[in-house]
Amino acid sequence: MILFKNGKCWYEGEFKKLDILVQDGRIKEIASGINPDETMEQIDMDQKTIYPGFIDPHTHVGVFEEKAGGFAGNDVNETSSPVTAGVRALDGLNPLDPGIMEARNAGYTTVCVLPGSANVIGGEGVVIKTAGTVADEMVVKTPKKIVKMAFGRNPQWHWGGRKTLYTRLQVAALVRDNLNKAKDYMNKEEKEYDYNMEVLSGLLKKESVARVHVANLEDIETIKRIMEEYDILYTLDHATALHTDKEVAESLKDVPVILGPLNVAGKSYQTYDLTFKSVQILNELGFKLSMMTDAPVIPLNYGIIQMWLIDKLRMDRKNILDMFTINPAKVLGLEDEIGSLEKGKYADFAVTDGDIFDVNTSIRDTYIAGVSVGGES
Amino acid sequence: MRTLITNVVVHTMTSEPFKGEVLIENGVIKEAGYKVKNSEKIDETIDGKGGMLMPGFIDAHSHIGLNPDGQGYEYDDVNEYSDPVTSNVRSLDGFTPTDISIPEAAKGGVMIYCVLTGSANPVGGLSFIAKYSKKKNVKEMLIREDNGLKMATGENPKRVYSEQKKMPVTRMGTAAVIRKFFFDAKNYIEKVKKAEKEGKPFTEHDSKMEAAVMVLNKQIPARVHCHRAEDILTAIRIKKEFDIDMVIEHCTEYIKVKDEIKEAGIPILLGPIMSSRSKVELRDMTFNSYRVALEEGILFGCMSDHPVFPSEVLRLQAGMACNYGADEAGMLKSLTIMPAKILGIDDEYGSIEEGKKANLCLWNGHPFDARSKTIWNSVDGFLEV
Repeated sequence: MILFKNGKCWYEGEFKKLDILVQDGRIKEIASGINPDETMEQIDMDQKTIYPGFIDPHTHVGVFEEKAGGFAGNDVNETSSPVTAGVRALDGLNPLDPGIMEARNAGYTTVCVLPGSANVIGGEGVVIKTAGTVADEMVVKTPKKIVKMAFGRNPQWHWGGRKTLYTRLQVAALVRDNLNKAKDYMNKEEKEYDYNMEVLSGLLKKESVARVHVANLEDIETIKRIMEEYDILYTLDHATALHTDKEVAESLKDVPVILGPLNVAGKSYQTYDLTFKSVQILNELGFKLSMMTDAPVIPLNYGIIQMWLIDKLRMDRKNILDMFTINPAKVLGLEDEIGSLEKGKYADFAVTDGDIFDVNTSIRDTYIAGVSVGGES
Repeated sequence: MRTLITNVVVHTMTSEPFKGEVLIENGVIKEAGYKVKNSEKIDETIDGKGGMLMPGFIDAHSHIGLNPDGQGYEYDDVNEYSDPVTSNVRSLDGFTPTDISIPEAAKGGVMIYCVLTGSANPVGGLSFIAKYSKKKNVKEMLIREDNGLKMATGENPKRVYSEQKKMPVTRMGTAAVIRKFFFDAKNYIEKVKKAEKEGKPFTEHDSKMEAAVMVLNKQIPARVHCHRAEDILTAIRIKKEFDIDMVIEHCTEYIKVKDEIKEAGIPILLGPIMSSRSKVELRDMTFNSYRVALEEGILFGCMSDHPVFPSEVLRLQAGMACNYGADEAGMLKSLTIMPAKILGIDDEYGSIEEGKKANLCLWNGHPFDARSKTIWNSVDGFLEV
């Protein structure tokens, strides 16, 4: 057992000086004045602040490698067909991608790795802890499987002129056609096993969640229409223009929204409405938002910068921290495992030498399941 | 015909080397020892002049005869690039026994090779095992047909098919192609069973699926080309999903996943290390792999991937491994008894033991020394060359 003694802990929405007792990678007890005994290794946290490990629910680390990855390390989009439901991010994931090391050093302890957004139905995503050398051992099992989809101009751009897809009309048609096929597949009495169809029927049976890449408002409305038609669980990822129409936004309040990356150039029609104000507007409407880096679009060691820039909006800091911790945990269905300092949850910590909103603060140490795995120094 | 070889240092590969004699009867080893017991009726006696007698080396991953040296495009039959799944093709059908590399390899002591299709396709084709023969025909050379199904992960398939704009263009795609191949085969098995149950003739035979069924039934292993650690682990994941036998080929980042390989009980064929790091997936290539594999005590072979690294000098790659701390006797085993076990031919080849085929080479010095050469081999007869 390990006793993290006397740290300033971000606990139930405020800072408290607490002791955290960790057994088998999970928080056994969190309280003030836990009496140490000889079975406990003690770590002095007196000068430290302990946040729950940060979570990024939308990245491509490991499948879209940084540094010298090049063609060899680029496995993010299986662009052989616009519908590749049966491919899995896990099968392309390199645990030694420097992007994953950067993540844990910056206090990110759990990330979701998704296929890219070139394909209308891109494939299965996977949730991993950010430390390890064997992908299979880093996997965090989620209660529902994750299926990446993309609407709007990304698939249109990628596939434009390649005979399979010219317009956004066809994007929607491909989704409908394939979901219809999956319905027939489910209803067949005698069927040949088809992994693509298994993945799509998972969506229809609500055993999976569609993680839908979208930017523009018109595409958001199309997604809503289709997902309701087929009764599918889904999230809106990026959702760049959602804040521009409060009426549409209000109608989507039950759908998890993952914003970001916001600190990039808005250089196309897709990113025309890109602004940090979207965080404030949607927050005021009552959305429980999550933030993504889309790493390596924004490498995870710069993920915290979005937190600072949101802070400039003078929002409640509890709401901001939630966007990097408990809200993304809920998106992944892992709110009982990670996302806050709470009894029974994994001992995943980002340990700092001060206020995380202060640019001069460093991540001194990152813990995953009670084991120190990195830090900035 | 009984031949007695005298005055040799016998490297049996299953015991310590000893100075002694070997008795061969009709091409089969009858006895090996300090003095053979059964020494009457000897038809010929060969004086080994103190040389080292070893089993013929086994190169368990080679493309010898599939792209004969100096023959160019017309004879390049390594990869059937037309489709990512070509389990219906057989390397035997593209084999050219007149490849000049074959007698060259024999000079270097390599007498047996498993000839595989290339690594362009996620599912390549069926391999075969051949032995050196001075008669340049398949009938004489063939040891075993269809002994494994080649598969490939990593950069090669995605490079080839991103040019063709077909699946796979990513590692995810490669795994999905392989997975679909096996799922299709399971459906195929169900169809066959159904026809049987209904007493109808099965009329949808598919040679691609027949190869997959052989793998699913564990009649033959999947021979999976993997370099990087993550690709090795993807292969192991697929092995577990479908409960199949597997050999990992190349296994360049072996050291990073040595525990996982040991746990999965998968044999590996390491090499070629004596070549350039021409792709990103070769970045961490190291001779240390051989030393670690020996220390770990796993079943592995040292292979050439001929013509990537010429089979004739395979022995020098093993020698270089010793330069990096690998045990010399262990490296000899990685050229003989261990690849024989991996290929499932250790009942006949790979060591000098009673009952095994006399597939032997006499060396005038240690094969890991570049200056040494084979004096004769038992296939050509015992004539000095």
